[in-house]
Amino acid sequence: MKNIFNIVIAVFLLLSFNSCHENFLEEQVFSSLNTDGFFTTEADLEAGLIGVYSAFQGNNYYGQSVIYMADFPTEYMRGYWSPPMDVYNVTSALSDDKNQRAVSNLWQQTWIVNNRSNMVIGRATDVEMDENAKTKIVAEARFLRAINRFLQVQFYGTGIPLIDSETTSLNELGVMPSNKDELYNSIIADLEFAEVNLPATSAEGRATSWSATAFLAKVYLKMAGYSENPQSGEMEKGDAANYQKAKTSLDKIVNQGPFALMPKPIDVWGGRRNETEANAEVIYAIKYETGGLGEGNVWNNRFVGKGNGWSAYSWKTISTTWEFYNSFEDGDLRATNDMLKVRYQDKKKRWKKDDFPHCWKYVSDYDSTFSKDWLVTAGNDYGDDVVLIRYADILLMHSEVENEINGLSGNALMGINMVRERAGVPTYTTASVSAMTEINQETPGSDKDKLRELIIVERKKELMCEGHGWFDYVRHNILMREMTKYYEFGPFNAAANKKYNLYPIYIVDIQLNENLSQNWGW
Amino acid sequence: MKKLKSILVLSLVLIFSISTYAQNIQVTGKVTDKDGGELPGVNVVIKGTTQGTITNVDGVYSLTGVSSDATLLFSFIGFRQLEVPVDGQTTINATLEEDVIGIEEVVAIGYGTMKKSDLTGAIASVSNDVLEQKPTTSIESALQGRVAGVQVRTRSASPGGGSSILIRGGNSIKSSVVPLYVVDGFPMEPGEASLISPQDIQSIEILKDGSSTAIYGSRGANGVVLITTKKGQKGDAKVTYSAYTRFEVPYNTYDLTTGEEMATLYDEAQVNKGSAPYFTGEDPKYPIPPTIGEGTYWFDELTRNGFAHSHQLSVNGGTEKSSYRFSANYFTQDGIMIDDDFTRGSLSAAIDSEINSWLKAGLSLTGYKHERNIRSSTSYIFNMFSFIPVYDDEGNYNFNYFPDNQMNDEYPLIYANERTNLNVSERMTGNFYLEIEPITGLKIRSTVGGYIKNDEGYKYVPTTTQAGAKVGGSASLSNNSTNSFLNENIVTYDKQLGEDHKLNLMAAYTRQYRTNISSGMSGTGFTSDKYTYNNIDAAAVPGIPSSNRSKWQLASYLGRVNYVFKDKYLFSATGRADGSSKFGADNRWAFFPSAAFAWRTSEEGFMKSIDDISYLKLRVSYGETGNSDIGLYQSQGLLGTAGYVYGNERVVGVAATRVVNPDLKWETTKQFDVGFDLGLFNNRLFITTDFYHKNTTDLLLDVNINATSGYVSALKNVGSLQNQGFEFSADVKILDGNFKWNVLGNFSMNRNEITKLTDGGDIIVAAGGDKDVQVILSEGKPVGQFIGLNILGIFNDEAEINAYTNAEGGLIQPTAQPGDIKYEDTNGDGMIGGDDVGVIGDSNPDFIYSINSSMSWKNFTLDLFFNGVYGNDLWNVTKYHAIQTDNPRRTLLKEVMDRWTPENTDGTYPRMGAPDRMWAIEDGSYFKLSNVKLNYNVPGGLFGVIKNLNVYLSMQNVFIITDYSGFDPDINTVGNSSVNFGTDSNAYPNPRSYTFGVNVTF
Repeated sequence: MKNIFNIVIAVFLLLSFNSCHENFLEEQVFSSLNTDGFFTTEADLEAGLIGVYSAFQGNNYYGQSVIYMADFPTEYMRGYWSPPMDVYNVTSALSDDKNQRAVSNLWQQTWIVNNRSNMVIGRATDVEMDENAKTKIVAEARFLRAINRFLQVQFYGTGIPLIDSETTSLNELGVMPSNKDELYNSIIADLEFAEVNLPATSAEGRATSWSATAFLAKVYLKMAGYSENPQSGEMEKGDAANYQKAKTSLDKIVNQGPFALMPKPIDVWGGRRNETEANAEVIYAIKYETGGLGEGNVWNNRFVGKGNGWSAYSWKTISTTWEFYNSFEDGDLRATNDMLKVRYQDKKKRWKKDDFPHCWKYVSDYDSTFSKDWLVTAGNDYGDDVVLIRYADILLMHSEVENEINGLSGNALMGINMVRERAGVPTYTTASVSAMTEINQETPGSDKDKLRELIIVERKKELMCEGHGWFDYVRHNILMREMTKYYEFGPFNAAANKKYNLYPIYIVDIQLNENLSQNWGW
Repeated sequence: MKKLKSILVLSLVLIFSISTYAQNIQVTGKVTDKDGGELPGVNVVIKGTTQGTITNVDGVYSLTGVSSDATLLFSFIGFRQLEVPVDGQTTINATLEEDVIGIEEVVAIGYGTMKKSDLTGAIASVSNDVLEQKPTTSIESALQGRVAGVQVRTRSASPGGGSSILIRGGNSIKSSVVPLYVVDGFPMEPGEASLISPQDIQSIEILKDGSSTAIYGSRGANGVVLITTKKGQKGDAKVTYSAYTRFEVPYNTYDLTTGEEMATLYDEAQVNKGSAPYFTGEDPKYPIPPTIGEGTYWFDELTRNGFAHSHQLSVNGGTEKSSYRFSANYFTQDGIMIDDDFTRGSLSAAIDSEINSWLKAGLSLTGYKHERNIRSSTSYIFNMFSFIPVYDDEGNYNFNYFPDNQMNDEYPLIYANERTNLNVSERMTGNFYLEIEPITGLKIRSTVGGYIKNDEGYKYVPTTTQAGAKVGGSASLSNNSTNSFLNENIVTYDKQLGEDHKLNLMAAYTRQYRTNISSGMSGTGFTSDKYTYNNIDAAAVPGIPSSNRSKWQLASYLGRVNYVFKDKYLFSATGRADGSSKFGADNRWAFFPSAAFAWRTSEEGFMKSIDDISYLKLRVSYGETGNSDIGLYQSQGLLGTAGYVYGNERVVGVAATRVVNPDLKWETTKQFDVGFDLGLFNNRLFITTDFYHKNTTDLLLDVNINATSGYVSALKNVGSLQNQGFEFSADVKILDGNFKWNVLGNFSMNRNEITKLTDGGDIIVAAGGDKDVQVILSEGKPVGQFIGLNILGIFNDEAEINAYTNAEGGLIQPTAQPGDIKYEDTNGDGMIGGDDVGVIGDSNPDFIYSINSSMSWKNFTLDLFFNGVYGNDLWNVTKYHAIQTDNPRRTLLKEVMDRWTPENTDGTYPRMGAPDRMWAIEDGSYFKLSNVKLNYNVPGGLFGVIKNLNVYLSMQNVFIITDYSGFDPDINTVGNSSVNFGTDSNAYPNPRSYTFGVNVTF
């Protein structure tokens, strides 16, 4: 009896106290991966890179927000929806809303991209793999980090932090703000690294050295132009020497690059019943794919127009304005060749004039008969790529830097004329430009000013709805002018205020981090 | 056992020896319980003397020397004392009734049992009789109104639908507020305890205060429901068969517009919005309203009379050394919505055996399965317009009534008749124990338990439906399997030290883990609908399959000390340390202490002189408990999947989704409780009262973090809230003779207040059901406040619009038209905007109460059960959709006919087509006769073989007094979070039901 008792006690004690708790209680993860201990192989690092690319696709980024925020503050894009898409518009009273719903989504997403790219770049150091392959992965991640940071400084100004390492703890998140020089230097350093280390060609959707060169040109152009000082609210002109740097990159693309304009504007967008696919004009695009893979976007539905009065799809969503439509010259393929659509088919397949013209760059189904089944089935899963930078943009930038450096010249007209020729409208000569008096309802004095104004107009017509408008206005410091000019029919529902040259920083970050200050005027 | 026999023999010898000296008569008899079971060990004493005996194993006693005018006193633990005058009888058979108060009854507490009189905490016990009073498959439903401080709300009255249970208010915002269910010692997740048929349950104990729940540590904060199943009892085998059938009929239906009325309203909205009217008669499909007449009453098309039946067979018995119980259950129900049904069956076995004097072992096993077909949805009653005929002229389903598909939803009859939506659940539990008693009073019990659950879902949408036609049929299968393992090692030691000291010690070590694996597959495009979900590889377009696996582990040390001094002063203290894999690495172990003291005042000399007070115990307790419903992997830094496209190929990579948080931990609730139990007039009136205060800290909330980190929010322990309340229950034996009348009432109130949120800011949460249903969380206010613009009325005419001006004389609602809604400008800024939104309803009741009346006369028993709730608001989303004056999408309520029109300018509803509609927040107070049961116990059984037979008739939802306009105000469709209690979104109609049942014991 006593023996048994002793044995029992012993067994019990064994069970209780000799068990290895820390092993037993360790939380085991099966269907996700732990951040710690993951990035050990080349495949892991590749997977991390895909994660960075993936972050560009979503609705909070190029899938929606970037284009809304860059194009709604122009006279050519209007949003109809309830609640209004104006929440994305910098001039909207709603962006003053304490939650800054839509505007804050992009802020958050840019930092998600930043953290994901930092994770790949930082973890690469300890991964044992082929050094060339590693350098390529790091170069892609640095390219993505750079174009993301370039968006950040344009939208949110140069009082934001510069974060180059992965977040590993919830403590001490109150980072210090950076400054303009630091931020732009880091962007250029990343792009230059990418330019040197990326191949000239790669799978569609992946960065190439040409993508980096093209963005370098864009960054230098911005650096030479205007930026708002986030503390004072003043618009400060950049160093004109940057035009020369931009020109170097642009010349390289024009002279050595494999890019060309597609025969017709619509060909950039894949033609009829086709998705936008890589073509000779596209330098870098974010890829989407339809087919229920979770890789589609919403653009088709956003631009589809009035629709047929079906309850679910009569959104009227995004349109341009008749004033903008009427500003196109006769025969401009960009207005008439379905790039701006003004008709729709009703239920009985009769063509009707729509309430507003619609930009159909992203509409997959060009001859859409608005088959209800088709629309419903496709849902928000369209494969049209979002083009970030293409050759027409390069040519227009080329004209811009030539004009800024050397003034009106044949060389300066080369790019803009190639774009106009493709659009089916007459080209300019130095004489014809010089002879103009009124452009874009303005009366520029010098020939240089005239060509600058012509390029501004051309960029609107060529690049509408591709997420360039507001960036261009700010770079030229003409946002106040354009807002005042188009106040009556544009989407502007606020008087011109120079604070609109920047979006507000997400209020939660201002509240949580005393080191950060809100942009001027917000 | 042997000892007992010798005592019996000895006492009999003694009795006989006494009788030789006495001149009085000898009385013999048999003592049974009310089911006819023999009661051994009953004390039989001649009143006023110490002379007496106890009954033998067959319940038989014999007493000599009884004077013919004496009175016999029968007493037995757990039964009411019975006095019988001898009156010269020589045979006195006695039937003892179980003591309703049961002060001496033994109740389950965490990791042990205790005499009710020794309890120091607030524990309520609900016996099997009470649970079986209402024929239901849901334990929660059976508990509704039975225990003070426990609020049960019906989530769905559908077959197999569930209820939500809340003990002493909601302790959490984000985490679950559902109590921990412990079945025979095995902790289960919410909803899983339903595998037990209520007929297999011996009793349910509800642990409410901190001292009783702290022994469950990090899982005890929401209270604990201890379920003890029936076990074998020593004695001859008893075979019991119980069965009932139930008929269900809809009651309290909505009064809807006829086809004519609805067509009128519909066109009125069309015209007011500038569109063309439909019902012009030009197209014969859309005749002018008067010719439509009554139209279709879709409620009748989609409902039927429900029918259910239940059968249970159990065998129970034992020998000296072992006991057993086996049971089989079957229940099937056709719900009152067409094509809804539910079937469940279970088998269970329990065996306990005394292997030798110091070793006991036992095993219990339960297997369970249910199948549930859910094809109808209540929303379809409303989703169709009353002017649409059920079938078109050719006898086909009429789903193309409107050419442009103004109704996005499926045609209801198709949905019900053509689709398949089958849910199957299979579960198995097993518990094995070994108990050793090496020295008297010391017991070591080790248990090993397992739980396996397999939930499957099968769906098919055939090509005969709109949705199915589009994709060529769509099938999906899902599987979710769980298994849980538990090992408990418990040492208890009972010791009586001298006269005055009684000590009970318990220490235990337990381990539990639970894994879950789920998977799903789907496909569309089938060559034939005949496959349904049975041949998914025949799908032309396979869907993306999914799977997931997760696991948690818990290890615990726990202990309890009970000390009773002089049977008057009761002390208890507990402690539990929980180590959980869900906690952050730096907070892996949590400790939860408790202490309680009770004073049996009535045992004091000075109280004994007060005759009217038969029992008085004062209790005070404090305990800390946790809520570890954190969710899995919340403290880990995780990478999720993220896809992109290279070329035209989808590539899948990883992306950080959560940053590591080693500080994450449980929510802590500190509860203070003070109460008393008072028995008056020989316990004919017994009162239990408790006051409690609970303070919950470290509430888990999703907190915004610096977005510059690359993460937007993180789960952190930041908030706090408190609950305090009062509970009262009284048991009164109003009549106690041939005609007995017993009334049990309880009353409870709880007040809840959020004391801290993330950064002091309010949080607005979608409460579910409709986007307009919103709840605000705000410091200083209770959880569950509905918000919206405050409606002042309807503008009867232009003059009223023009008279509604702000301080500057401007119109507050400049765009309003007569017949539009007038809103309150609560912030006084002269306009109506988002800032005018305020609290327009509160889902927290002021108090809840119930009354159970039990009358018996001879062999008849009549039970009436009333319950009620007072002072809560319900968001009636069902109604909100049926008063959609702005844009009618379904049949509207008849009362909407009283809308504003130029002719009826003082209508209660706005004009058709006005931009907004009225809210549908209603007073949810009710008083209900939930259950009536008339029971007849056939005296003495039948034909000799049937030892006991009783038959009963019962009726549920007999009547209700309420201002609520929905099917039933006892509703909470959304779920188990305390944030969104109180919404009625397409609730299943709660039927009135009639039950006929029989219980037979062989």
